[in-house]
Amino acid sequence: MRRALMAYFLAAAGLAQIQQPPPMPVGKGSIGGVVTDGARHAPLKKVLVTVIRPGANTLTAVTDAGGRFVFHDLAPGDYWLNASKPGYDPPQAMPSPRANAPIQLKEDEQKRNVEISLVPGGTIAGKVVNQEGAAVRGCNVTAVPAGFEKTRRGPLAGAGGTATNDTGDYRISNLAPGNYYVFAHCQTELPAAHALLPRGDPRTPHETYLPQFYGGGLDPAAGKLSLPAGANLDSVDFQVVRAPAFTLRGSVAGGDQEVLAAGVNIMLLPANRLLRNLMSFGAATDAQNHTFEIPAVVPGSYVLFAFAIQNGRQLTAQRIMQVGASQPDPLEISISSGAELQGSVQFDCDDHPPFENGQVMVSPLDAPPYVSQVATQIDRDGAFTLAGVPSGRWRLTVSVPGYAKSVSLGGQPVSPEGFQMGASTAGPLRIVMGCKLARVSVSFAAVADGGQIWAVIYPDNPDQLGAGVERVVQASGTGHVEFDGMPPGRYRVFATDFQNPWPMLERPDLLEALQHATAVIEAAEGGHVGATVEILRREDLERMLEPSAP
Amino acid sequence: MRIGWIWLLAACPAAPGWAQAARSPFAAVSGVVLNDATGDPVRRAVVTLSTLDATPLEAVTFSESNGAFGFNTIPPGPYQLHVELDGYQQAWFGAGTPRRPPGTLKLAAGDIRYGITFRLRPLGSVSGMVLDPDGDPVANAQVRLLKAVWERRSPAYHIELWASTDERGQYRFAEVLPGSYLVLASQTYGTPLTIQPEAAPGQSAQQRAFAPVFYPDASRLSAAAPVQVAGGQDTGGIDFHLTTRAVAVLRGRVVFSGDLPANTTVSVNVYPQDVPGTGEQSMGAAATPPNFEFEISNLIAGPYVIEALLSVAGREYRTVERIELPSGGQEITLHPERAMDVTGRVDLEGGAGPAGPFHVTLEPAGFPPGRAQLEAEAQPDGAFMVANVTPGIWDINVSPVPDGGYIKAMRLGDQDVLTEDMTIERGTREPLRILVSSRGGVVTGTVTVPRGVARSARAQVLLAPRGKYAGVLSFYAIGAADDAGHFEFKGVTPGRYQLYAFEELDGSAYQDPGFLKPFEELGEAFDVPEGAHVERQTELIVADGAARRN
Repeated sequence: MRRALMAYFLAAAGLAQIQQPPPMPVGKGSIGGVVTDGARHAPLKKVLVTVIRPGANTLTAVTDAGGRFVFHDLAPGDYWLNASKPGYDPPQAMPSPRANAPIQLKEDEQKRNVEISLVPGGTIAGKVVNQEGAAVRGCNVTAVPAGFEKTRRGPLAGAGGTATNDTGDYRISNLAPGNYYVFAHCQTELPAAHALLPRGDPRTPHETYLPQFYGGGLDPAAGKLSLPAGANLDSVDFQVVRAPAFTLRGSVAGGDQEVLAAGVNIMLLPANRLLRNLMSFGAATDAQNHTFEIPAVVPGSYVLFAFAIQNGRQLTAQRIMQVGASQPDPLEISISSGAELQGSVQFDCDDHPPFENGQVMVSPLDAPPYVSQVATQIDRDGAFTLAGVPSGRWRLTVSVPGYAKSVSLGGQPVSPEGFQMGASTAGPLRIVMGCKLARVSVSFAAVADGGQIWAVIYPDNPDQLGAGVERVVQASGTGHVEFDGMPPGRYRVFATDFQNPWPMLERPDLLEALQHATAVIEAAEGGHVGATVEILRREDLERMLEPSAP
Repeated sequence: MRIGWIWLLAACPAAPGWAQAARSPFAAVSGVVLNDATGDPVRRAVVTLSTLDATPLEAVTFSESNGAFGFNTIPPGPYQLHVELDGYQQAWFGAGTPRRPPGTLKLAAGDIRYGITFRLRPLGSVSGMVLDPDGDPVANAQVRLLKAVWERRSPAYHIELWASTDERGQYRFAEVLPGSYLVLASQTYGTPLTIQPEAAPGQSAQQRAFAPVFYPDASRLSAAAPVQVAGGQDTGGIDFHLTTRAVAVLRGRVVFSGDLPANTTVSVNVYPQDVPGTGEQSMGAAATPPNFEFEISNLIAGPYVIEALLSVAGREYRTVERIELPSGGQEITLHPERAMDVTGRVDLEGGAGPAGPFHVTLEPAGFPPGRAQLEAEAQPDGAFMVANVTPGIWDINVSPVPDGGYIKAMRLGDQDVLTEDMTIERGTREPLRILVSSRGGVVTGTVTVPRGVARSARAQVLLAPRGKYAGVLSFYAIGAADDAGHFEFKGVTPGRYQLYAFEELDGSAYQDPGFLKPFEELGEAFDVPEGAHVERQTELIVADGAARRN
């Protein structure tokens, strides 16, 4: 819902530059109401409220001290209201109610009771000092939403970050309510005491500050913070510790001269995948010598990764490495194109659809940046060749009707949601598509007054989230929805009056929190299974989303 | 005093104490690092001892908690000693203040130099808030710290630092060099929100924009008050109350002699004329076929420079207009003028045959910025052509000038463009003749220290033209006098000069026409004939308030 609407707004904005839309038609109706702070339940002053009528110019009002706004002289029709104020409705917060719901205004109707509540953003602030208590400037401090580490869906990602200033202070504002880890990474290369050495000598010692989560160390769980809506946590302080730092040097071979001259991207990533977005070191090779240098590396386990593109193919190299207590020796790594993977697609039924225009695609999971998907057309007889799939973990998508019922790679069964490719992995990649899909019926108590209910189905295994099987269906009036064409498997279903539940499917922590309100179903091949669920009320959901008290 | 020694030679046979060091083949150095503002010891300052080689040998140590530092077992030779720490101006041994050139520490075998005191000058900071007319914080406002400079002998301001406000309207400039500054706040990208809870179709909402404000709430530069920044202190409370003004619309048309190709686009840029540091915030528009009309809204009434630029078949066209935009808006017509090809010739006088090949560079001068530098290679006979020189002022450079040589003449037709600005206009066809002479003058001499002043003779020596060419910046030269006060200027343009030996010279200050007046009586003017060697003495001009011994 929200996404579709956003797309519409963008399209309208794009159009406005070419030609002004006609003015809003004049009538005798009105829309008015109050904008409130959703956490403090107080009226909000100076909120920009925009009323949108498709195809017409927008109108804006700015709320007064009582949070009030009113649009007069409106013709009957459908209107959308949008309310915005800096510091409210932070990204990643659940959308405000009403803000994106259409208002159907009848002839002469005076609709003055619209209430829009905005979610206030919260703030995490503090100071970074070193072991002598002196302020450390230029540290990147990142607020990381907690909960994502429980799935295989990817490394921890920051919701907001900033650098400390000259007094060591940082302040990350406009954060959505939720639980957070806070990570401080002071990547500066510091000098260390040494005797006379030529300037730039590789033996020159350096130090840097060890990266750490709030609470100390590289285990995020030690310092989980709970940030209620609009809260200010302002003493999230760090004491960082200096440690010897090394410069990782190396050279890259493989690939043709043109590729090497253009520069190969080098990434040094922590072996702990949770940390990959929070502390990675990047470099590019020198065009002439094909060498690289990564300064200020602290001891630890890493994956060194190199990437380039040659004639549309991805050339990669990956090496697991330990940085210990001394300067590592220069490395030589060789980039190469990934395996050429031949395979076939078969159906387990006779009356299957044609392969024409069908595609087989593999997408990287947990891959270092740069690595992108590899796709190919399926031949008329079901054969295909994927050219150059780099080593790593991949997810398979086959764009023909049906579902990937069984997949084998080199004769070994693998999961289409995630399988490993090594440098020497050989095919064939055999895919059997199941034709018999399942049907899932979900029943819930019907709601009166034309209220809207959204039914949601998603795979029970969190590893399978994001692979495209989760669905949301909107039900109006009836107490029943059908999900057709579901691949067989174990699912969870729930129903809610919360608009736009899509973002919830991207929050494994929320899904875990609301598990008790879901029903588990087993959808068998070609089967039909039903479940009855309670409606998860918006209020309950909001309570569930509310972070626990710190 | 406790001293943190750093051992320079790892293979030192015995730990030398003071007595042994005195007889050793090595030297030793020790000292203390203090905060110049408070006199307190400074901990963990980075002290670097370096040789004077092209690739110097460097040793590093840190000051202890009592400020003490030391280097032991130093091989004899000349060294420089440097101290730095975040939040302070860096310091060199023998420099006294950060603006003076570093001195040399000459160490003989067995030397023990102790008691070297570095007084680090702390940097300051400036902070404050930006508020709207209701007293509410303005987020993302742009705040600039401006420093007075001289450009082309006219007073100007350049942006020393810039910052933007957070959602609380707060900003902070860190690590500010102590001195006098202007502070300017603007919010060009945001629309001011004024409480206006009621709206209806057909109501014309008058658009307003924030006007730039100089501290203290001055709308014009002439009413701005300087902010004094002291070292080690935060100059807080530098707050702004932005005002809003109705926006005016600038409409215009680009008129061109002859037909323009159908795909031509004229880019029109508008620069605020009286607000330093906003030049980079030009507002732009494109004038497109068939009428080449443009419209720039959201401008506040005031003086602007408008520039129109286009390119047709590789030929540039440009015009610059100055306007005083009234609050009711304005319509203007712009007539871009064709760029000229400037042809000319470089001749060498007094050398052994034609030198070169010469390289001629034209650098755009004046406001608005944004034109690119143009270059041309001269033929073996000295002929050159610089293509696409748009109308405006250009500075000319020619290289290589032979060692000891100078540019004797530059004439555009009859105009002397060596001592006056070269303005290219529509229809400029005159050739640019450049004469390079190998017979520049040489001025050598010694800086003398006034009697009773305990200062080094190291100085920044300014060779300044007197008389008719006192306004020609390219005739000024700055050189350094060494420890013995010796200085040398080669390739001096013949003429009348005076020497000034400043202990400290602030960048562009000498461009101030009144700057040298008070010092004129300290010396006398002298003539430098072509090819002559003139020997002069000049007395050190001691910096004010810097009564510190080296």
